[in-house]
Amino acid sequence: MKLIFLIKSLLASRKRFIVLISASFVLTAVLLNVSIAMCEEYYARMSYIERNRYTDTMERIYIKSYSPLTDEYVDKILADVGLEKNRRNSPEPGDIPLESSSFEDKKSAYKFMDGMVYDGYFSNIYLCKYSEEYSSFIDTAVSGEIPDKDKNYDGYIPVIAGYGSGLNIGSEIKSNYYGTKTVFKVVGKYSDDSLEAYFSAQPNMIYTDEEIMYKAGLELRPEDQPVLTPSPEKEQIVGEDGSITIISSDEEEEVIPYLKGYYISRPEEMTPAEFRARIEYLTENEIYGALVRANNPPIKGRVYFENLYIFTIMSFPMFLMIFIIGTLGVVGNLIVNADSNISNMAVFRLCGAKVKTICLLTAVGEAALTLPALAVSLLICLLIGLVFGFAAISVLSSVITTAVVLTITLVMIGVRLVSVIKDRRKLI
Amino acid sequence: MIELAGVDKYYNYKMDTQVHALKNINLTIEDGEFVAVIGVSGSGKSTLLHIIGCLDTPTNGKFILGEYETAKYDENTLSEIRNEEIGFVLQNFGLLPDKTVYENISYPLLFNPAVKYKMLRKLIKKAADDMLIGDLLHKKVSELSGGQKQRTALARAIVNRPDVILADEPTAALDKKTAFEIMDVFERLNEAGKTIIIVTHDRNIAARCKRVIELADGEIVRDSKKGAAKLQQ
Repeated sequence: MKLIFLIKSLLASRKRFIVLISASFVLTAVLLNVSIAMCEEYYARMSYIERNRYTDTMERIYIKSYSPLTDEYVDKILADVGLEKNRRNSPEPGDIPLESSSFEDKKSAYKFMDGMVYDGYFSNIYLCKYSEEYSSFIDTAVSGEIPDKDKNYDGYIPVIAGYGSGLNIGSEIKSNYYGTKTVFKVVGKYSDDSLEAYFSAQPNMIYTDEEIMYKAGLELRPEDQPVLTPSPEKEQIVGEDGSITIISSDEEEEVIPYLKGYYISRPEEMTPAEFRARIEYLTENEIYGALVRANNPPIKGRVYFENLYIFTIMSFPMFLMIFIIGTLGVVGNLIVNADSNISNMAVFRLCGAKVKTICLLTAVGEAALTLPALAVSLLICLLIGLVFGFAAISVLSSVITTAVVLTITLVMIGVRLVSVIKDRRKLI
Repeated sequence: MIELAGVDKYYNYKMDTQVHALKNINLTIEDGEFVAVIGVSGSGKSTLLHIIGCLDTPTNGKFILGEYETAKYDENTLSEIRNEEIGFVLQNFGLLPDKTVYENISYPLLFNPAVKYKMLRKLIKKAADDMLIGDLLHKKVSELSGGQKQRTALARAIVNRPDVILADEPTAALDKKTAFEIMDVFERLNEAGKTIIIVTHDRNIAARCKRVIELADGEIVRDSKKGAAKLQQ
């Protein structure tokens, strides 16, 4: 009780100073928190892209074959042109025959992160069956669950809904999937289109692991698929990106070869020109009896992200600078006020205060400046988030802000304690 | 009883800038004495007061305050001794100007573990009333006159009921009339049994003390128990 009285007495006399310093600290801590929260997503995505060996160029190619397109077969094709080490994905989008009409004629506005809005009617939902390799790409930017191929789902196929699909977690899509009554249930959803945009230009997409489809008996594994009889001279390609339908021109002898779209990223050791040359070699030469075709232009990669987050990246150093200036101001003020602190402590010593009590008072006095300010700043960030729906705070940002403020507090306490101990014999 | 035996005090000991502030001081002050320490500036009076007040330690020699031989104790114990045994009154008052009279008087009690929080108000009020500032308790020190400030310092000095009161030029910042009023207070405290040691360069103030010790160049050059009249000459 006596200690509280003493601390209250110490702080009360510095009311104006404390209000000023605390306000400055609150502002700087809010700014730091906001800047970290804003940049966190960018850095997470960039780190993800780096980790997964995305570069600034990705190409989309189609490989057609009369034999099932197994991973080994595709690996062999790519290895022959020196692209075996790069990242590739085969999302395989396919139209789902809807059983109910609940998604037909439904007007939806699809908003993308870069501000593009697509306003239109969709009567189809496209299912993307992703491979195991692709599944490693969906570990960020998805809220909710990611379909687990080892888990037993009772009576439904778990899917991730695309950012622009208009579907929410828990939504069900009843479909007559190749003659089988199937329920697709949304268990996760892309929280934005930034990563999804790598793989699909379609907004009305749902995604699931191909293994789940195989287990449910809705798809045949590549190795179980029959080898088709080639008749290249009768074929024509219908459809563009996202479509895999190949219809023979000869109506009597309809042959549907296997066709898969692949996203190929530029290997880091390869220049964009070299990469482009390899892709062109593939597209211009029908090797392995397969037609290989590429779309143009290459889809957006890292540059796309950098442009998307340009304002975030620019704001970070600005906020950081304000934070540093604010902190310097706070520390500067404390140094300026050091004399008053020394006189207080000299009076206390005269009155019989022990050095350890003086140190405790000093530490509590400094912490009383910064810690409530930290709590207030975090609260303000939460309120900003609630009121404006803007991600002003995250776990990481609050942890970093707390760590930074605690470090500053410890430095301030340290400086004060050194001065108290050094000047402990000083008299008024 | 206060006893100093062969006390030397050096500043910057064994350095080029070494100062020998006190030289072989042998002094005994009995309980209840009223002592003035006089001397010119730099004669060592304040250093002597700091050693008696356990704010500083002798370089050589022995200093005993009551039952404590101070050399045997660490800094924290000396703080406890200072808190219980000594009250200070300083020339510049030694108060915190932006705090109230109540707060300033409370500090020795706050650092005294024997005093409970609920006793504070009563003890502070009594000390303030004794010094005739009972109605100023909630005023800030910065709003007080010089005399009121020194009375506040006196109230703080006595609030913990110490046996010894040390005053370093307590009247130097006051006008003559107020200075004599403050000396009346010291006399009253001495009559109540407190040991009073006043450092001053004002011979009129020293004349009101029962014993005068004169220092020159760090040495005691005169110790007169009834020398007030002689000193005035």
